[in-house]
Amino acid sequence: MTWRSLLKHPGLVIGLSATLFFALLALLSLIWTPYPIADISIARRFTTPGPEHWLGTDQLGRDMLSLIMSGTLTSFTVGAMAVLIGVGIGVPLGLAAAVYGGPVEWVVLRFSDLAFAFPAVVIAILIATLMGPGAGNAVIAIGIFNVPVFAQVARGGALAISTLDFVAAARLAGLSKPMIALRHLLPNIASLIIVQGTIQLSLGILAEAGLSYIGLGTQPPATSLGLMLRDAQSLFLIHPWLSLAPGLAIVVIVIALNIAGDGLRDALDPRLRNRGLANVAG
Amino acid sequence: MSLVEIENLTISFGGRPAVSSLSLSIGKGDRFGIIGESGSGKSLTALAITGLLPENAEVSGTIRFDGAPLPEDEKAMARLRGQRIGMVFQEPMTALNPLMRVGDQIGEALKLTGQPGESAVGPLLSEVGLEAHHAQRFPHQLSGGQRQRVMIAMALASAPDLMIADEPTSALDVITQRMVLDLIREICDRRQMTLIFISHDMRAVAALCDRVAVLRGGKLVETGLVKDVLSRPADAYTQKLVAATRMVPRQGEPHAADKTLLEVERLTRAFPQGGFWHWGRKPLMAVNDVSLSVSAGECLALVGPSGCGKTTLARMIVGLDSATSGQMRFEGTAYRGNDLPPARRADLSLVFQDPFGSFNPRLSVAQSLGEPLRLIPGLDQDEYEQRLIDAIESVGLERAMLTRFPHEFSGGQRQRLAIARALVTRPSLVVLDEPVSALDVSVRGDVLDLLAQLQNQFGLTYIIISHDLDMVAAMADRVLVMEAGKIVEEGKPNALFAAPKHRLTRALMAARLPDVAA
Repeated sequence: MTWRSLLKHPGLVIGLSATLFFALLALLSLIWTPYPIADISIARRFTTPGPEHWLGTDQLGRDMLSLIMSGTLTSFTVGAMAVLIGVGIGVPLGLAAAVYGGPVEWVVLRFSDLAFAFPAVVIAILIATLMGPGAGNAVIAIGIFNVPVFAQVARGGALAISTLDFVAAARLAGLSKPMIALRHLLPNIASLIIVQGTIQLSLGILAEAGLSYIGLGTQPPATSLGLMLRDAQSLFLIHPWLSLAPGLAIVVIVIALNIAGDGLRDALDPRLRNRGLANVAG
Repeated sequence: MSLVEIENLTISFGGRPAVSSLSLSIGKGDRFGIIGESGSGKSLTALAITGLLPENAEVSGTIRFDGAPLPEDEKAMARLRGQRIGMVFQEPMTALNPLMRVGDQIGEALKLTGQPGESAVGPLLSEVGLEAHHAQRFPHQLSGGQRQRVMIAMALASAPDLMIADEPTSALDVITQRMVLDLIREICDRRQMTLIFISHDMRAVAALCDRVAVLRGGKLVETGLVKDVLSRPADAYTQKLVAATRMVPRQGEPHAADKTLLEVERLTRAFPQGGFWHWGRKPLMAVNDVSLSVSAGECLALVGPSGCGKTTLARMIVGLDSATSGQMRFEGTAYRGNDLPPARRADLSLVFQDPFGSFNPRLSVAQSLGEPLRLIPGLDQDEYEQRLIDAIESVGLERAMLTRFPHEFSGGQRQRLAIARALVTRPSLVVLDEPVSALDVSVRGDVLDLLAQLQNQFGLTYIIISHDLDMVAAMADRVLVMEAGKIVEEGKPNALFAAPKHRLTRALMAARLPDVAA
């Protein structure tokens, strides 16, 4: 896998660069924003976009660009933490199911059925009721939703790999089941997990926006793209720009991540590499 | 009058030619064989004739079909394919739609040529030797040979002028292979149809075709009448290929056979069948009450058609699977399969059939070869490295290759690496599961020579699993013939093959393709 072969996939390049652009913008907000996001000034509220405020100001006179930078950071952080939770718990569960089979597999599969049965919002409402709303609890809710997804992907990939002879050779060499999973299965399903990771990241960003919109996610004075939408919704008919700006940001990020995920799948999946040549025997 | 004329055909991918300036002329009514090893461009040539090359292929040169160049237009090409060219693929299970009854699939092929579907299915089925009730079956309910017959019936649906068969028998066992070859020949004779038969198997080509072209690395090596090319090959490469198909039966004394190394006592492996309603259905007896013994230093062969249980037996012997009943005794240690104690595992090893699936693509050769060494406790770093070097050099490769990755090796080299991995723990018994059947013909001989040499050098005991009787005759001291989980005949190869007693052994002998030069 070289950088040059990555460049052969235009979708991947476009998706990744758009994602990177937003990620850098978000990181920049840690050290610098055009205006502090807590800087409320009723005198300059509802400014239209201009040289002073590139994206205008909201109903409290806060700078929209600063809000979007900061909100993107929250969205990315929540989405990424949720993916980490999903990978960290889901992949080991999926590998264990594939390697041990029997009762272990049954338990993992029933657990994932159960988690699939409750969408992230329902889990978030439960957690918010128990522990109060907040970005941290949104991470946990979305993370729990991610766990069965990664468990299924890891199990499916591992089952396909474990029919290959080198796994049998490892068993003959006396490797324990966890060692086989770690040494032989995990490296060969890594690309599957990376691709699923980008898709779950975009879903996580959407879910965070949704949770913040119904008031279960990020709480002011911190901000997120979903929270900005919620703040702007009552003003939509008078000042549509206040909803459009964060809404468009969410749409572009999610589309970029999905395109990047598709491109990564093509670039990393050896079955699709050299499409055509692979079907030719001699 | 030639039906297909290829002139200066060059096919390349990203600037690298896969077929270069190939010119062939295939006459009407010919049975034309294209022989080549993997990477020779033989399948690409066939795809070029049908206009089915992958989109990233760069093609130059001309192909004429029945005097006219192949149409540029995709629709016209599809019509030509549908009405005048029939194609049979290597793997009938993946070429058939698993969710459609085979009768409907043949009917669909008929409909595409504008004939009324249903009524013509019956005659086609009977032409390929199937019965009318087979039309109601799904592909998974048919055997490999029957599926290939269905594929042939579909190819015949349009009454094509040309049938292209791409390795149609290499996924089948010997007996079925012979039946399918005979069927193709019979149909070509009856319909006066032109055949392009692509294969790596000289004997299959010799048995079926009247003209042949030998390809190597995308270039034409030799072409002419089969009996000329194969009995008096002009080119050195063809001579090598022809020589490689001829196995010399083993000469000399049988290996020492006094001390018993492995004893298998009434071993049975049953697989439960069916899903929810599995009571009432008999379990499948993959291995059924098998007893045998292997002496130290011996080379024992297990032969039989696919599905006879020979691989299941081998997996139990090396400890990958456990017996349902019965037991094995390896130098006094009794075990049933998986429970083979780790200390004994180092004395037993297995060489897999497919050299491409048997190495983890993410590990270097040294990491893969070193894996079994964890069975031997107390090796220090120097000894560990020395073992790796000894193993890789004993199979004729260089120690510098230890740092490389599996994808950098050819099939024959990988099989050498697989043998090196099997030998790294210095075992006494090596089980070889079809050790050469996935390899190109020209390297098979080398690998078998290597195996024979290693056996003499280290006093190894081999159990070879195969359906290739010539290979068995060349290697084995003793042959066991298996059918449906039972051993049906046993003997020394020469005696057994000269006077086979059991029906299956006779069928295997009869299915043997004649020698190419004969």
